[in-house]
Amino acid sequence: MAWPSEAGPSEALAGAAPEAFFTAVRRSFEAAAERAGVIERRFQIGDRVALLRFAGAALEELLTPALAHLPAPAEAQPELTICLFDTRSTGVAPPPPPWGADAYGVRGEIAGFNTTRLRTVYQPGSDILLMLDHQRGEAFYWISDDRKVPYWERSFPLRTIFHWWFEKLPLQPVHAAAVGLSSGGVLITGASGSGKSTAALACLDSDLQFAGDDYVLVRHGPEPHVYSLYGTAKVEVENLARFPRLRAAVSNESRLDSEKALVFVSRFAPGKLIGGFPIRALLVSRITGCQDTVLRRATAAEGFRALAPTTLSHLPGSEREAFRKLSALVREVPVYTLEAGTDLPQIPRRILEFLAHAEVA
Amino acid sequence: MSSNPQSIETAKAYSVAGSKIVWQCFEEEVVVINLESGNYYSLNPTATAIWNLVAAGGTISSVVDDVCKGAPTEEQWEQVLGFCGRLIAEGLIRPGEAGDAPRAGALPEPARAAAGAWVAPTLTVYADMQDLFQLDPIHDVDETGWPSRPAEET
Repeated sequence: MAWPSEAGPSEALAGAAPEAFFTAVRRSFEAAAERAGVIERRFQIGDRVALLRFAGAALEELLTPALAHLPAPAEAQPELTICLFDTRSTGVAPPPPPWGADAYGVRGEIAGFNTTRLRTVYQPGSDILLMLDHQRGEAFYWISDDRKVPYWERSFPLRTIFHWWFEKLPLQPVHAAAVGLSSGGVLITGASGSGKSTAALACLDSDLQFAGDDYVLVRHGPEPHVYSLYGTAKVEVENLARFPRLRAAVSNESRLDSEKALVFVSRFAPGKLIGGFPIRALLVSRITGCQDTVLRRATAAEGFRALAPTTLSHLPGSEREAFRKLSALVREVPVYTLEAGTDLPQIPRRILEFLAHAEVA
Repeated sequence: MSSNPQSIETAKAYSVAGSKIVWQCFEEEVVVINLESGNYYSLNPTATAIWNLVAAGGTISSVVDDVCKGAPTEEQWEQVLGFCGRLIAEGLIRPGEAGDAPRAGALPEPARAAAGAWVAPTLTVYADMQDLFQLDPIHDVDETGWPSRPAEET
């Protein structure tokens, strides 16, 4: 079935300038909003406010639970407005892409549509169009069918748009978990399978607060700080048995044959969520198979190798700026390896001991 | 001078292979990331010194002289050329072209001045991010003109 496009015939925008395409997508969103109604939600992202304008309820229901712990006041003036729509529920499609099949970069970057002002990605694997216009403070998010939004997109919605938004600021989404106290805490990084999420989830049963298990926002500088982005946790199914309390809170129970278990911590344990804290250390997680958990001092280079490639590989565009910010961060905080043991309660204990020592120091 | 198995032009300057190759110097190593392939690399202090000299626009001969204090042994020549050959094979450096600007990072003096025992340059390759950069290219579009394919986690 061909959906109505507000741009007219398919050829209308072929070869169009990026600005003209952005204008056409804006018209499509406005048409979708006209049909389905607008739902507005404001969120506090770091020290800024983003306004999310949904055309209809379909995407709003899927994408806002992960951000539910970060509400901003209705009167807050947003620095960025993100317009989100899907075609299935609204009946409106954006214009066909004005670029050719050879324009897609390895991570979906569209050649010719990424400038100092504009960012455009067609997200591989999820078929989501993401666009940002720095000059207008406006972004777009479109998917053909809301039912195709993958579960992992629901766990960290809009991470690429946030990455672009903060391009020129000392803020950077990073692939890391974060746990701590209001006085200070730690980032835990490492590639998939390194025990990062397990370590963060083990802290839910301790005095430590939880700011995220996969992507958090950091501000580098003299007083490095982490902000929570997503109140979600993803757990490998085979790992669920280690966290029996989480089992009842799994949101995608019927699809665990093909998906990680997705838990909204804001529903499961809202008191454990924290908006952010000063960063006292970067921990590089490793699974040892031993019972005990040990923290060992590591080099800035080890921290950088654990944090930068995995972050940069997930976030297309603005790589050089992100690279620079991550380089600065690993020099601003001490780096340790977190040799995570099988006795899970030891993990938060070691972190709390470290934080108590760091506080005294 | 020893034979040159990599056919590297020792009198020629090489340069970092484009803006998608980024690196950061730390006290004990350089970390290089290829933003096109997803591969990243760790260089030991000798390799760090070589990398910085190449990036700064030095010829391979001058790089060898510099890191070997002007009197390279045959073994050192082979090791430096072998290392440069690996950098080329990994797509990290290429023969310099007119208009290439030196991309000197801060040269870590301890590495450059590594007096005493010679340590061969090493390049450790990490390819664990490669999968994220090797998704199938876009082939098919639906009737709206947009690509569509089954979702997979990234």
